[in-house]
Amino acid sequence: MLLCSGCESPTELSTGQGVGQLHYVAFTGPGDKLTERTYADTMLRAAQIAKNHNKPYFLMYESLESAALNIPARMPRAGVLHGRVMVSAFILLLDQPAPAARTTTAVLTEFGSVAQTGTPR
Amino acid sequence: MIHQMHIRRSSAAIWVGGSLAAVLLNGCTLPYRPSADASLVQVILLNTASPNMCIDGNWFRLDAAEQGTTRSVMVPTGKRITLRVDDVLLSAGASTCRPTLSVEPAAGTRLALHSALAGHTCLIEIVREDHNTPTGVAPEPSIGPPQC
Repeated sequence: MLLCSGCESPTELSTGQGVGQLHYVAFTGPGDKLTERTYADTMLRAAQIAKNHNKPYFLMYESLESAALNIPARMPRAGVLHGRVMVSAFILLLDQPAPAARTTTAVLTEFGSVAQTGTPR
Repeated sequence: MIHQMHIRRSSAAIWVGGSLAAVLLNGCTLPYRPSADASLVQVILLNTASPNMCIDGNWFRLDAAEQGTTRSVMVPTGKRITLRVDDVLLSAGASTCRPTLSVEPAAGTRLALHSALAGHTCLIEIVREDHNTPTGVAPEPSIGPPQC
């Protein structure tokens, strides 16, 4: 249970979707506020995609617009409306480090602990 | 009738939050059936089931085609169309808002439409594929406010 303890499970909205060079990651679930775990689920999924493609780095974009303008972000975009939470991001997989790029193994370590314990390491 | 609406125009996104009157949204929207000689472009759908399109003042439903994990619709070129998403959280069984924008697709392009929650409202955005950019997408220059 990542988004709402005691409620329905979060749903991944984006399996396999993408456009251009981008992969899309999105989760939704019930709730009316964002938590550490809300972000951790999406960050972990992004890093898992990078790992599955043997990419040690990735850039994250909050939206298609920011990807089109090549303005990366540190965290995904989140929204809360009418009792639903949604966190989404587009990621660009990289072989080499780049400004603002996340390191795949570091994200797996950092956010894996959040998902398991509810608190960051 | 529209209430609690906020619109931010930028190079590639229009935001519309809140809800629209049901009379505008419900019912008997016909599927879009282009003529055989119509010029069309593909729109890749991200977190969007079947958007609605207004062209020449008439609303149509765009039925998505699936190929693998890619879902897309075809829209006409050379005319300004308004696109509206009625199902921002399509897999969650909740329709929380209905963001809308307009665009004038150019022949030979391929577009991508994305809708999501952002802050306390909804986001709709559209870009064009461009294999000359690092991310493979570029701003769509024709984006504008809804026309219907």
